[in-house]
Amino acid sequence: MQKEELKKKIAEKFGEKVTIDERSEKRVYIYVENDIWVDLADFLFNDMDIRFDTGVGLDDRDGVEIMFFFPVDSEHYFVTIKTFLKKPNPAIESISNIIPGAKWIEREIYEMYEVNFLNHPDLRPVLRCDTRPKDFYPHKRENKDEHEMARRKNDGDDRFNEIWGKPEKGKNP
Amino acid sequence: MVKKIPIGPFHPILEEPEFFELHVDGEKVVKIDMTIGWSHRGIEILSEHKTWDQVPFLVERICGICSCSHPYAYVKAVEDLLQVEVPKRAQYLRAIVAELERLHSHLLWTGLAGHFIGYNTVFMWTWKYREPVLDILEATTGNRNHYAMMRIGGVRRDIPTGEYGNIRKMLDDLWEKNELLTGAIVDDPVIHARTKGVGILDKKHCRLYGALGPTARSGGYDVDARRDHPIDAYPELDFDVIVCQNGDVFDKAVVRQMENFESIKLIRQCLDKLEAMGPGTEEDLCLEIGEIPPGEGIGVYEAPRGEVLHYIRSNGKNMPMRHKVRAPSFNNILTNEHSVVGNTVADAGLITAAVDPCYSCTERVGRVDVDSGDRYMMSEGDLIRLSQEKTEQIRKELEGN
Amino acid sequence: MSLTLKALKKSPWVFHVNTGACNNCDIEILDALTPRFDLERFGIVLVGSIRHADVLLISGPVTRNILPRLKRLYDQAPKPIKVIVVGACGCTCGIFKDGYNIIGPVDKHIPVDAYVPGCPPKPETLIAGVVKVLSTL
Repeated sequence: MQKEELKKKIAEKFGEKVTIDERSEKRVYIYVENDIWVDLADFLFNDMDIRFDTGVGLDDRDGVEIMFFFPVDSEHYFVTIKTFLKKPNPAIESISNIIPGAKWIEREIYEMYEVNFLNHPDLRPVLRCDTRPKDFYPHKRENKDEHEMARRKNDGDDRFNEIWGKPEKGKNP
Repeated sequence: MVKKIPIGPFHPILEEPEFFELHVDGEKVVKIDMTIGWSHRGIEILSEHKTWDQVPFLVERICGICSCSHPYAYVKAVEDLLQVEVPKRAQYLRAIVAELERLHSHLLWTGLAGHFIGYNTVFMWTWKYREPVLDILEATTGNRNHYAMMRIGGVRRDIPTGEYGNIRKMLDDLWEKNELLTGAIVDDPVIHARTKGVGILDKKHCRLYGALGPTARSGGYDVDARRDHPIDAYPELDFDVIVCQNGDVFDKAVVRQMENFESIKLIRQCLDKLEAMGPGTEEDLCLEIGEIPPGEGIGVYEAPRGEVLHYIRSNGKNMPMRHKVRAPSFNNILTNEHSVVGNTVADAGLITAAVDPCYSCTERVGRVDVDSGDRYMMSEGDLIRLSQEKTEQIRKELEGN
Repeated sequence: MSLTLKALKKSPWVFHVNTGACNNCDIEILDALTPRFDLERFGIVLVGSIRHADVLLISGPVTRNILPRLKRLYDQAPKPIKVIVVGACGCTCGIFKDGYNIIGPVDKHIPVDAYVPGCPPKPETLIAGVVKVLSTL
């Protein structure tokens, strides 16, 4: 699928709801409104036959930005679709009913940013299954200070232990 | 009657812990549940607290086996942001180290697959043939495993001209050994019986699950980031992308073996170009990179297991604002959901190993009968033994015929 | 010398645990068992179950998820058991020290007999470490 042709088709189909930004020859970024997120993913994956790669979340002051990558292998470029979910309670329709490969990445974004993917078949944390502290979403902006603090911690783990609980010392046999 | 068999999370033979729960009906697996994240170290956050130049050292410690591919994808992401082209000499050096890594990784997998099906001879042989590759890596980069070769704008060190001869000699030896190994795998009737038609992942499901690397290529799904998203020296080098059609464990082994030949060819071409260039200077190795402006970049590289993707967002500071890492196993392990179902328990270990995740067997395997509540404990050694016994049985049957 | 100690010293069986390492120490451990270094000629065998082990090789900084499992493993191990930490991350957490999911080096949680530093340690270093531990028995 030629790049120009694809851009034209997307613009025709979705019109005002998408903004296409071509950062360089091989990278196309498409800003999307929330309500056509699934339609666009469906269009790219099923109609245009583009491979799904993965997704990224990014926390900002007012909301969470999520991006999904669709690489076009035959023409050597990347299509990235982006949308912005307003805080509080960012939520969006899940695409994993169309693309099963997106299941885990949506779970990861949920775990890291507390983005609620509606109609996801199995939305629970994927990486820190049973040991994570309640309501700790590591990539959230509010937690930046915690990481900064952890970075600067020397041996005095006090503040760190306050959040995480003190680790038990091993006992000698 | 459905029973559950938990496998994991510890795995004594190798690599990352992982947890599988097999739901079995008799011998047949009807469903698989996977829990990952046992080695979750929060590297993305760590990386957002390191300067641009420190990050390659961190990302190469994501995986010890792909320790060139991750920094490669990362530096490509930053170079995508900066829109720069690295010097020619650096491009070839990058390709050499990356392909050497592919060689040792594929040999490692072949050996382990041999072990899982009870062919310990294959295991010992491949690991013996793998040693010269590590020796070359140590001679050229200074370490057997973490090479620290990549740098934004180029490479950190040159390969001494005197080493070219050694590398060529090693490659020639390895070519012969690899032919021998490929022959041993392709001609062996027991391996055929044990791996053909096992754990099939067809083209349609490869696409649905976003499978990558040899896992996808063995099923006829033709993706290779070196060709599809060409970077650095790859467009001018000549290599084939190996694609098989059946998608079973046998094809996965064949794809990896044939890729070894392609890697050897690639390294030879790079050496030719380097020799034609003559000795290089400091400027040929790395560009001068100043501040990183605000922006975003995507870098991909074909690691031994599939396409590695790094996403970088900069806000003009000396650290990345967001650094996303997607390793190929993240997509590939998910394909087990499809490929394990319908196979036997003895094959399940082999199939999960065939995607070359870092297969995890366990500290112990408990077999729980859901209905009666009976619990049989098996050590993970038992799972491998189960697999090895099956091979033995097949061998006897074949001999009988 | 008691019979247990003698058995332990003559042919130590090794169990290997990855507590969140990058695989590199793990493949170097395996490397030490394959023909180039061939630890098996000294009777050192990698076993599949902790219940058979005399030596516990641990690689990796301890992640939050793995800690309960590591403790359970250590409890299941037959005593006396020698614990060897392989690699820089196991010894000090190394480059992952500041991670939010990292819960300290191994010796914070279980007693350790020997440290083999390096990222990753070469198989020769590993062998030297094992020999040193055995010579203390």
